[in-house]
Amino acid sequence: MERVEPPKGYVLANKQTVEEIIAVEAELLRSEGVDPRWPGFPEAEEEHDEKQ
Amino acid sequence: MADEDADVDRTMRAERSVRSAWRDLPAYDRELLQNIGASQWQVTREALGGVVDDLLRSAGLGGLRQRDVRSLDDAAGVWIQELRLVLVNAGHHALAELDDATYEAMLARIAWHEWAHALSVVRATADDVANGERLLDLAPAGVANVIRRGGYRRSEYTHELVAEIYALLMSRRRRVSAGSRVGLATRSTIS
Repeated sequence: MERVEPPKGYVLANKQTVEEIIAVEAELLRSEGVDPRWPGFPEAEEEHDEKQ
Repeated sequence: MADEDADVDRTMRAERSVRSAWRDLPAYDRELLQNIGASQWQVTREALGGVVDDLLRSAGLGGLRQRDVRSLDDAAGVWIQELRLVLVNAGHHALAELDDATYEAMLARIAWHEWAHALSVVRATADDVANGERLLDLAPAGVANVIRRGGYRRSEYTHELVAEIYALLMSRRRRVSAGSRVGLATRSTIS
């Protein structure tokens, strides 16, 4: 039994694709006056893990 | 040995990033994902085609065709609707040379993109799907270009656009949230 419509997934063809995604995001953020630098996540205060 | 240590370090970083991205979701979206049984994820370093194929076969849902396995191998993340599971490939070749902060940002983005699929795929109407090309024309050019070059079917354009916009909004939310608390962060530049 084979699936007819498999999930496509989030395709990253190569490093250039990643750079393009980052550049597009940075441009959109700047256009809204948001600093595109990634601030990181705050330290977690409690564990809540839904990981399988 | 050094390569193995680096792989372990990256995988742990990826798991932390996806977990943090989950915590960063708006509470109502997180609760909805939990309520529809779509709150589980798995981080791997293997190409996703084989992983998805194994998981589907194990669940008795049928495997993928070889060409679909190969196609999915190019993906850094995927939402498997039948299994209610998000998979992320922390070892994807396109992520290999990123600095740590950019890697974290991309892992979070991939996870947000896939959770957006979980939230939205069942809500899209036939008209929404049929209008994918038109909706892409209305999207920011850069976003539309990334989707068009991703090799997606036209029937997937709407889903991909929704997921990309959601990931962008989450990414923006993270930055605004951090900026509102501590001023504009200076940890790293990803542009």
